[in-house]
Formats: sequence, structure tokens, C-alpha cells
Amino acid sequence: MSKADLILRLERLLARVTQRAGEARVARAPVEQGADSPMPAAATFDENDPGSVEIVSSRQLAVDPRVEAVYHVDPFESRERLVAAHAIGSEPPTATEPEPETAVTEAAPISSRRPLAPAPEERLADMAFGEQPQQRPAAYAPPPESGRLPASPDLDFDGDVTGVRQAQITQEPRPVLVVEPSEPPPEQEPVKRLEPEATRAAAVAVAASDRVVDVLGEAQRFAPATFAALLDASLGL
Amino acid sequence: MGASTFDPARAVQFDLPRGAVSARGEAERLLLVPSSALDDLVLTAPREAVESIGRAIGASIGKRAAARIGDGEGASVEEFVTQLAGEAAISGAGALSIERWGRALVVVVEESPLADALLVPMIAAAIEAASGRKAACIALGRDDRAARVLVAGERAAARVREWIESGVAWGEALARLHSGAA
Repeated sequence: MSKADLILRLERLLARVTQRAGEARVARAPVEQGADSPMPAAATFDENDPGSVEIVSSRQLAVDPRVEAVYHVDPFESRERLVAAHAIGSEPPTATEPEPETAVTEAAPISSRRPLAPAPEERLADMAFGEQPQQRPAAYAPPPESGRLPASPDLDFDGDVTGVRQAQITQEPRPVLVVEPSEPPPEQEPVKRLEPEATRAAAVAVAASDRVVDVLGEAQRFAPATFAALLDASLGL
Repeated sequence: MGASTFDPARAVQFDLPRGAVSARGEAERLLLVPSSALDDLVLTAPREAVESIGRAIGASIGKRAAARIGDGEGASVEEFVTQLAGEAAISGAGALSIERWGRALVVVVEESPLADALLVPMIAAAIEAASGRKAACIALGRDDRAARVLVAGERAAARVREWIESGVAWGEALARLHSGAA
């Protein structure tokens, strides 16, 4: 896959995500049909008058280039996108109210029933005086609800709490800091260098008069005073 | 005490009417002999004869040196060597000096015309005559300029001779002599 194809696919994905977000907003609020609305008007139907079906607007849909691109079958694309593409050309989604929370009527399965541990004081009392007959029935924790869950109400979350902040679109361009090569970089806090702390033995001051070396005797040397002594030494070898 | 010197005055006397040559302090007549004649003698004469001649020459030198030294026991090395070297020079044997290799006495003779067969016994006799002690000598080595002769006892001389004949350098032989190696 070339880079161009990859970029194209990413752009399509972004468009779909954006569109879905827009559709969700439209789903919450009633869609006001207007002349500028790109979506075709909803068909009104009167049960009493079968012929009351009339199409308010017969304006031809302007083909969204994005739609056209979606219908291009690509073996690497998923069917989900095709389903979403069909939904784009179909009737506009009507505003639906969130379903009210319904009480759970079905009975909880037996396996979900689990006894709760008694309070610590009760356990101590049981250990001290023996198990007392249960004076109250064991409470069972309701099992977690399965199946469809009601949609969460539209709550206004505090951006500072959740960490999500409304992006503020500013019209003015951001100032760009231009650093001239000749200009010195801004002063930064110098990195603290670690210096080793050495501990060495104190130097011993040696005076000239100190006798550090103790010499015992003198080295033997042969220095005969007379020729006779020299001759005798040689004859004695 | 001044430096030892050799007085060569009247060391050799040439009596021209009598046609005789003698050395100071000796009545025995001397003879000027070419060194080549001695070389032929060394080549043709028996070893004992050559050794005898060498010893005679050395003895004469030593006696004259002793006469000049006077007290041989108390003479310093320098005094002894000076007088001995002077007499050797007068006789034409060469320039004599000594070297001390540890305790070994080595006589060095420079510019000597004598072969080792004559030189070694000559030095031995000169030392004996000058010092009054029996000495054995052995040639250590000789180059173009100087010959070295070890003055030692009989046993030491024999050992050094054996080592040198086996190929040991004479310097090492002297070192072995001091270490007491067998």
C-alpha cells in the first residue's frame, strides 16, 4: 500500500468520525428542516389518509463526494463503513429520547446469589459464643445487570475534573518564536555538576633532619692499601 | 706524599769499549735481542724451554723493581705497580698496568712483543721476584693492543684455565671464581 493510499484512508476515517459526531449532536436535538438543509425532508404519513404521503422536498440530493468515495469497494475496508455509507443516504435519524430506566423485572439467577460476609462484630460474637441462629436472612447482593443498559444521561461534565477541555478555536494565528542563529540561546539554569569529595590521608611533613632510613653498618668494600694485600687476596681465590 | 714516579736515569748502561749492556743494580750483562727471534724460539723450542726463558726475563724485571720499591710489604699498589711497570718498560716487554676484578689481580700488558708463552711466565716470575710470593698466572685474553694475565693461586688458575678452554668468557670465569663455583 502506498503512502498516498494510506493518507487517503486516514482522511476518510477522519471524515467518518467527524460526521458521526455531528450525527450524534443532531440526534439529541430535533432537526429543523430548512431550505439549506442538505438532508431530504422526512416524509409525513397520515394513517387515515393513505395518500397523504407526500414528499415535502423533492430536491435532489447533492452527492457527497465522501459518500462516493465510501462506495468504492476496497478489499481492505471493513463492512462497517459500507453500512455507515448506506445510512448517510437514508432517512435522517430522528431525534429519539433516551429510554427511561426500566426496573429489572426478571429474576436473578441462583448462581448470582452470593451471601455477604457478616460484620466483624458479628463474627467475633460467633467465635466467642458460637454460631447463633441467623436472626435475619442473609442479604444477597444483587447481581450485576445484564443486557442492555440505559444510555447515560446527558451530563455536563466539568472539563477541569475529567481533564477534557473545550478546545478554544482562536482566529488569530499563534505567534511563532523565531530564534536567530546568531542570537545566544536563552539562559537556562546551569546543570548542577556533581563533584567528588575526596578524602585523602594527610601528608606527613618530613623534615630534612628526620632520619627516615636507618642504615646499619657499611657495605663491604675491597680497597687494599698495599700491593701485598691485593696480591694476597688474588692468590686466595 | 708525592705521587710515585719511576726514575729511569742510569737504568741501562751501555759500556761501549767493552761492548756490554747492563742494567743499574745488576752486574749481569744484558743482550738486545729482536723479538722475532723469540717468536721463532716459541715456535720451535719445547714448551719448558720457552717457559724457562720467560721466567728468566720476568725474574730480572722483578728484582730490579724490588730494588727500587725497597719495602715490598708496605708498598702501596700504586708504588709497586709504578716501579714494576718502569722496569718492564726498560726491558722492552711493554707497558704494564694492573686491574682489580673483585679480588682478582689482573696484569695488563700493552704493546708487548712477547707471545703468551713467554709473557705469562715472565709476569709470574716478576711478581714473585718483586713480592716474594709464589704466584700462578694464566692468560685470560689478548686483543690487538693488550694482553691480560690473571695472577692467582695454582688451583684457581687451573679452574679458570678449564673454564676458558670450555668456552666460558674470561670475565664470567672471574665471576665464577668469586662465587666459588666448582
